[in-house]
Amino acid sequence: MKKNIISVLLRELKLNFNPGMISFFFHRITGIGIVIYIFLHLWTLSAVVKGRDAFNHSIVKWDNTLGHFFEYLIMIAVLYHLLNGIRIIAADLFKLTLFHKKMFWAFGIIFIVFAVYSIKVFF
Amino acid sequence: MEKVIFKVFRFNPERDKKPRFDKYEVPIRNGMTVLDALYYIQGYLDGSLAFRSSCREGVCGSCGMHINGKYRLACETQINRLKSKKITIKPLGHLPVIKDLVVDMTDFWEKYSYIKPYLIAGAPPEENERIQTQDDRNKLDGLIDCILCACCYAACTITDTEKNYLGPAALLKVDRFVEDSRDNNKKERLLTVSGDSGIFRCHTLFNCQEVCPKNLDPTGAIARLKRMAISNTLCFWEK
Repeated sequence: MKKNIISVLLRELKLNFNPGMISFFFHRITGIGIVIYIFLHLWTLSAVVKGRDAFNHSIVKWDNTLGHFFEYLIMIAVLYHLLNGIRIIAADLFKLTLFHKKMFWAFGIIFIVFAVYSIKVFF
Repeated sequence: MEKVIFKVFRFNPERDKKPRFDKYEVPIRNGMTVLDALYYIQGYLDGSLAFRSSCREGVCGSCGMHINGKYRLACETQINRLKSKKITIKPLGHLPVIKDLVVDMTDFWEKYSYIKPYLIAGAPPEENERIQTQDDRNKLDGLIDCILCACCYAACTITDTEKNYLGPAALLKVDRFVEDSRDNNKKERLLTVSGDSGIFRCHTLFNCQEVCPKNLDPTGAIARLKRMAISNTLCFWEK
């Protein structure tokens, strides 16, 4: 039987509610979000083949508060995925598995600082 | 006497269509463990409750189960320390339920035997025994204490999504023999676990480390094996 990834993730998160599992949960969710964004991004940019006006029109569509909100969401998704990826690679390659919780909180603070500062930039 | 409500997973695949939770009120005393409470339920409230246990002192690894949000050993979990008037008990995850809290551990043992969990020295000892220096012996600290309770296996999400994944307990045992100065099968062991269902399937979730009742670090052992496998592949000129 094929398992639904979201329901598996939610069930596992409920069974193992700890920093490692929480970070994995959001890593997967942001990963899926980024993949969906890539297709939307390519679809928006593909207007370039129809000429300059069509491209400008396609880009301007997102230049509003809702568009900036989506941009902000994608920015924090990429930021989270990046920081958590660095944390996992560091744990695996540099013998830091016993410090993963400290890294989780340290990277969490970095994430919040960037996420809050970016509100000013995007809006 | 203070009383605690136990919400226990009940399921008999031969009779029940779906699992249910039964509630039991258990009088508790200071120092009483979850396993003591399960024996109380079985002895005084419901004789049909099935669960595994043996040594009652955290050595045999039989009574691993999901207790109030975490996989733990029932015999080592004191009720008072859970600081809750309601305790929920579920069987080990990712393994088929035989009855109530008893699971079929065939998958777990098959994967364990697949990695050859025994010393392969290759040649007879030079003297009457295989001498090991104190430093070499120290390398095995934190690797030889696994009691095979399968808490890590149940907590690992990957054992659910990838049925062939060997799991943290088996991989910790591989690291235990790779680190052993008396073992002469390092390359074959690394080759065995470098495939699709081995170390690189681990997503570094740390669930195994979080739940280990012996405070071992299976994630660290898997990470060490990953580093060795990578270095073995990259340093091809040393072969």
